[in-house]
Amino acid sequence: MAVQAVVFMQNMPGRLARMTGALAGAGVNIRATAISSSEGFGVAKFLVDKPEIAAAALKDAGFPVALKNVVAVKMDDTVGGLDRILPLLQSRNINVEDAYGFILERGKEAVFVFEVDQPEDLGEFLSRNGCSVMSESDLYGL
Amino acid sequence: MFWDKEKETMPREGLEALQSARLRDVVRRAAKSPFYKKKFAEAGVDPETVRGLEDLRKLPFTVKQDLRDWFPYGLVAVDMKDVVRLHASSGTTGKSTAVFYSRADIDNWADMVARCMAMTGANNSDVFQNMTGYGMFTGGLGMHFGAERLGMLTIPMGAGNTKWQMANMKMYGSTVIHITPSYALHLCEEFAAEGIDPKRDLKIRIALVGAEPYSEGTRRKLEGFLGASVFNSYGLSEMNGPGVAFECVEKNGMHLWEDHYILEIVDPKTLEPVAEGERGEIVMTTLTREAMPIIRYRVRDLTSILPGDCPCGRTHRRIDRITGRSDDMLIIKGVNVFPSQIEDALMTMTEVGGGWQIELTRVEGADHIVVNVEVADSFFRGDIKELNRLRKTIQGAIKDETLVTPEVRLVEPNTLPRSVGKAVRVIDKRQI
Ligand SMILES: [Zn+2]
Repeated sequence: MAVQAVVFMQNMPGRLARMTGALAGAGVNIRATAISSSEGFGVAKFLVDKPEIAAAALKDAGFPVALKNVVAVKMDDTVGGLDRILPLLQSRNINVEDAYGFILERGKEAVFVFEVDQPEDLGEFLSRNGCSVMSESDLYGL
Repeated sequence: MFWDKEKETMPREGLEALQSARLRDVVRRAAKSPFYKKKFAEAGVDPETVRGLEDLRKLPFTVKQDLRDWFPYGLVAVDMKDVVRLHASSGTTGKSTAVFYSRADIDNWADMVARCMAMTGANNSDVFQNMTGYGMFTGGLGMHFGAERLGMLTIPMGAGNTKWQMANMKMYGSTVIHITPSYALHLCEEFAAEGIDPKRDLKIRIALVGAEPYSEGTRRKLEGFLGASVFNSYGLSEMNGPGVAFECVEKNGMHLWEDHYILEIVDPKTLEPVAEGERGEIVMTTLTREAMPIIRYRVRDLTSILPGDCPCGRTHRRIDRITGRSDDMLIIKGVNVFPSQIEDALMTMTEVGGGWQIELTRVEGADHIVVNVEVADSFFRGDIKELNRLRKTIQGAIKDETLVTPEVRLVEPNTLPRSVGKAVRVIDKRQI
């Protein structure tokens, strides 16, 4: 199961720079990031090539870190790409806790990353329904 | 206007002789309580040998912790059948303090408050709207009894319910109000919002403002807006409540009723008396209280005694505005809060780290408290909803402990100071 590093931080200047600095120092490549914030604090998510090393480096830098399971789906970077996946999730009553996407090659390929309550089931389910679910090595080796 | 001219203008010599006689008496009475029996014995003081003021400094100090340790009845010096009321501070088990009153104590208290009110020019033709909390807090009932003693028509409104407060002021033509400074500032905004100009539409002529510290600037603002004369008041529940000291029409310091209390100003470090006019910590002894006499109580409020005579003719000395406290008690929205209470609330939770900090600001005249709390490393599992639930839990725990609802901000571990003490734990940005 693929994982991403999820980091607790204060909404303060300089926090992100400290995180990316720690990751660079540990030789970790960042594939994608997403940030959600709430009342005065935020949660940063890093999809990286070496999640365990990333988590250790972020912890050393003083941040609380958790590794969370994700499902990454490769799709065409065309209109309606995402529209094919969301109804599938809905049909299975899968609760998407968080999701973000990024483009691999403009006009060709995009990746969508889902954080769900039951990721194992979702990966299998999406594969069966013709989606290109990325393996750990695919995702980390991007 | 005098309420009791003879007592209020008593020559110093006579006043001090009265204090001496009453001190002899109160020390003997206090020794009947379990607390003072032990305290005096430990200090090697035989109450029977105390002659008067000259022996005051041989007596041990009493501190707030004593009141907590001997809660609830340890300082009661009379038979319980003679105790008629109690008032208590906010706080849960282990932090509470309670003060007990006999019938004569209630009577003396009302008399002192009546003196204070008469001193500001209030009289029995006034309509008095009491706008501070009734109940366990001494402010409401204390002023209520004094106002009735003076003969004012008393409206026992209590705090809050601003629209109704405003309606009553109009309907009954209130001329004297008792209010906290933060609520008074809020009231001014409400007046403005409702299009009420107190100077044109209301009859308020005297505002008795206390229970929280406030500045001369706030006084001027309130006076300008209300078109009323604002008087500063001083009191604390350990010494009855409001009415301990009050401003006269000179508005230059607050006369403290020295026939009922001995006033000392000491250096908080050495506990030696400061030179005349110098700033220090207030120490007070109740002279007339029956149910719960308190000897040399370290109030911890910092002030000084104003030198010289007051043109009003009163001989009881005046204390200056309170400028701070020698310990770390915070007054937030009129409620006494100890940083240790917040620590207690937080430290039972495994989800939080060791560091926390209080930030106090004043937003639109009202105290605003923010508590920054470190999230424990181990607690974080990457879920933002869980963090928001934690915020609510912390907020509830602090409210249960202190009765004040804070804004809670979660911060990263090891980013807040660890050492105890108000200096680093509390950032007080309130401009008073
Ligand atoms: Zn005076």
